[in-house]
Amino acid sequence: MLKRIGFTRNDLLLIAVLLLFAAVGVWRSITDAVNSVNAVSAVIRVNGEVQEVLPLDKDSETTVTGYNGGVNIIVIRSRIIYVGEADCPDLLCVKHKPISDSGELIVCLPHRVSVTLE
Amino acid sequence: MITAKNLAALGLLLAAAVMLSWLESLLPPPVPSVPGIKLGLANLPVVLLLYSERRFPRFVLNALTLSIARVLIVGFMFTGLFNVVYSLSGAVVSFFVMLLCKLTKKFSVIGVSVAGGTAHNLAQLMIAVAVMSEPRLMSLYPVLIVSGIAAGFIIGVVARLVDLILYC
Repeated sequence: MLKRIGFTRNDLLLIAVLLLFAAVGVWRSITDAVNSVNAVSAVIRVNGEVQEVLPLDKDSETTVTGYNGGVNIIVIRSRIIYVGEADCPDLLCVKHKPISDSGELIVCLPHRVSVTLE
Repeated sequence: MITAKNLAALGLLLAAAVMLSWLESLLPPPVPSVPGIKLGLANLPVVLLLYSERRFPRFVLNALTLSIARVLIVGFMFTGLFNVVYSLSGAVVSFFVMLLCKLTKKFSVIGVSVAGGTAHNLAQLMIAVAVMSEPRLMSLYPVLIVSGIAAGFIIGVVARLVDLILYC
């Protein structure tokens, strides 16, 4: 079926090579996760600069002002962290699933806000 | 020289690209937790133009014009200006990667589209890393490669089918 519409062996090769690259990345993040120590704090950065460091063992709601004045509300509830509310256009940060393990990351591209667990 | 036929085709496909972008903006994001993952329906007219050398002598210029014009129109109409820097870098990088892959004559339209989709996502990731000064974002690259392959594959197959229908 795929051959009939012109799919070639080179196409397959290209996809295989790209998947290999992706697999290397997945493998690295798996080994990172296995070796990681428990996260103790959530680090909030705006435009790459650390804005706030929140302890994970204390529930909190923090309002962060983004690069262009936009607002993200970062919520910590029993060691789980998520973006409760934001006024960015795409709201991808709010839709992101809550994070709890070190190395995980929530970003808000329009406001240049990132939340990492360290 | 700009011929009437060329201009009419470009206008028609540009309208189609803008409409496809709008259509896609209505759909929920396929992976809500990772920014930038989408099907890239609006890339379909660009791929079609890239393979229209039998009809238009200026097909390369046509495709590039369409790609950039589409990003600007959609940026101003729906997605907001903050997105334009991401969309534009993705569109331009993916265009030249597709052009190169096509010129090698080693890949079918499906392979070319897969390369374009992946290049689009990786270019946007680089821009995101630079804009946010957040190198940890690079950890998203496997997801973006896989989604680029999937989106490029679908668009490539559809482009091939449209091509078959148009020429039969």
